Amino acid sequence: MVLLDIRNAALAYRGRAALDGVDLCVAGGQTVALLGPNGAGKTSLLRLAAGRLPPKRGSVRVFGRDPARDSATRRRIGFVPQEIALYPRLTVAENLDVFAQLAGLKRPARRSAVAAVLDQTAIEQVADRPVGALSGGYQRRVNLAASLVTRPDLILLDEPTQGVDLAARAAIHKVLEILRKQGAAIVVSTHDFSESERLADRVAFLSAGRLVREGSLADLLRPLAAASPEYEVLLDTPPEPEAEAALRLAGFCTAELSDATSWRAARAAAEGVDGAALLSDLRDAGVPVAEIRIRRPGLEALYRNIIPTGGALP
Amino acid sequence: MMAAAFRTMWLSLRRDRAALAMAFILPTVMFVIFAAIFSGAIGDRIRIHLGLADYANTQTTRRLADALSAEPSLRVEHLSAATVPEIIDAVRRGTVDVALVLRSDLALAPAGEKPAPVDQPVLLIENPTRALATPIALGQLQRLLNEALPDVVLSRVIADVERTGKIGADERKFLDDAFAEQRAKKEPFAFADLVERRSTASAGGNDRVGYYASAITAVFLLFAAMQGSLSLVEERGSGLADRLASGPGGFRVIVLGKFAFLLLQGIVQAGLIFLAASVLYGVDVAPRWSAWLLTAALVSATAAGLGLAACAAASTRQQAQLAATFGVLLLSAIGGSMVPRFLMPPWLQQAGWFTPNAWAIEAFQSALGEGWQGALPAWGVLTAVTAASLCMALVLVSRPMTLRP
Repeated sequence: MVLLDIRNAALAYRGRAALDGVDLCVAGGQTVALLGPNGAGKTSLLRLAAGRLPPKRGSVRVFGRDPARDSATRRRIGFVPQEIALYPRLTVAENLDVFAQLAGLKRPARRSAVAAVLDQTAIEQVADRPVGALSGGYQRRVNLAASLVTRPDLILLDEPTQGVDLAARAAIHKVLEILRKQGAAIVVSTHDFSESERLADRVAFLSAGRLVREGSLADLLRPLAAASPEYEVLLDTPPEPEAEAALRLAGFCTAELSDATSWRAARAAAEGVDGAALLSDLRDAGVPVAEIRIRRPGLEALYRNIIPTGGALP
Repeated sequence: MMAAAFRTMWLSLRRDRAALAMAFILPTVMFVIFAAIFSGAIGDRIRIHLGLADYANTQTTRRLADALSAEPSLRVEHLSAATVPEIIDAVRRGTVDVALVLRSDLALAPAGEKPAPVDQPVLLIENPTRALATPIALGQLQRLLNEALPDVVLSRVIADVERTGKIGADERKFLDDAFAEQRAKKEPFAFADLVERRSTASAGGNDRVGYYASAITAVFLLFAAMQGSLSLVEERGSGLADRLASGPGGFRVIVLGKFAFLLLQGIVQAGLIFLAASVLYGVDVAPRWSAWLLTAALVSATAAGLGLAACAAASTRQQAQLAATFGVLLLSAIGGSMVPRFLMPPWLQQAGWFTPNAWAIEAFQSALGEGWQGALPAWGVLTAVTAASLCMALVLVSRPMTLRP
């Protein structure tokens, strides 16, 4: 069943186009990852889906209704903002209770909803602590919990694991996997390719307010399955001119314009090259190699092909 | 949903001990200080520091010096040992606010047709930076001359009449003797009976301090409402805006919850200020407590509405803080919360009616002085301002412009 249906949606902030002609459908039990550089329109798309903003053109429907106009529909949407959207002086349980109250839940329902979401997100042990006193990872988990307290059917997450440690990231991923299995529709905006590959059924690439590619993860990655592995060289220090010349001769170029310690090989250039031999050759040429990574091409490679950012990563 | 916003405000305030103390202790402290400053500065309790030098040291100058020293509205410092330049220097330095030098006997008739300035028996030395001290000193001097030395004043008048030739030396001596005789009987002729004083003060109350309680309540409630409303700017500037605006009630229920909290907080703060006024200065609220309560609620509602509207209109915290400080100071200055409006130029007195402070003071004064009927016009204005500002806040937080990326 399609929960979120966005058709030909356009949005502008103060005359500047933020989204233009975006189509996106998300069904229950499905996770869609939004990928794109900063300013591509990922957050705007989430706000549009949340009913926070009405589209300038096109339509947004959640359960067949316009969330910008229908408060009952908004109640079925859980929005997890990028920032920590909590009251720092209130305890975790108080924050959850306040957001449940703002969603219109009565006292008995609130009590059970707060208890359930504390259990669901595994944060019972910090329930009585003020949010401002928690670590960044726990704040992220409470941020997620606050959006789940009304048991929404559509969950919109804006970079939910930004700046958290591995444990908190894993905990958040686990919650999202359970929610998907329970039938929720999930849209997650992220810059983390491995997170997308782990969580998403479908991936949508946004660039300059337009949806430039969208499809199931399997379909998107299928053409890359037969491709040669990717080679990435990480350096201890930025290379001297002679070392840089050696890298370029071997078919490598900088992975990011701003980072001179990360170099990638064009697939054709590195094809069939033995990793150990490459390491030895580069070191002999004076290249300060710290690490050589050889991996199957994934979303990151696809992203670089699709998004015209001059090599810059999202 | 409104209750959730109310609860958030209350819990956040309760957990912030410093803010809690400032919210409920500061109003009383501020009132006590301001009441002490202003009730003395413009009321009849003002005590200017008067330097007095009696160079003549005659019977009449001693009588005047004694009368001046006994006057409770003056703090007299005797400077008879100092020279005139030294006294001028003392006034310039601010050692005294103003100085009187008694140069010759007050009753002595001038020798010539018209006395030269140097022959005038009293020299007043003033400081332009303490301009208020001069008319007060002159006024008290004139009053004391009339009340304590009427014979001296009359004798100077008679001396003038004598110079015109209308009366002779014998008649003047007769009158001088009559004045002396009455003074000896402790029944001197006086001008004091010319004036009868009546006051608009209510029996048992303290209207002057009541005015300051009203004025300080208005300014404090505006400040408190502005500070409380700043959380609206913070919420809109943070991720809370996304979460709250996406909720079923949107941002409007948040504004209404904050309004309810600031309304209640304001009533408590007004209550604390008037409690201090009642305990420390005898301001009597009890006879018209219901009118006072409604006034406090309306003033608090007006402050909350204006604070929320200003913060809803502000794009940044800096803008809101500027409105909270300079805006409130300006409204308070023009509206009579700092200096009573009767001391202002007429155009500024009229401009004061465009401030909430003036109407808040008017409402409190009318409610306490006349009750419900007298306060109705001011209540009407406060209600209208509250409704308009709250509507403005609700519209502003709902407009798409506030939902910026």
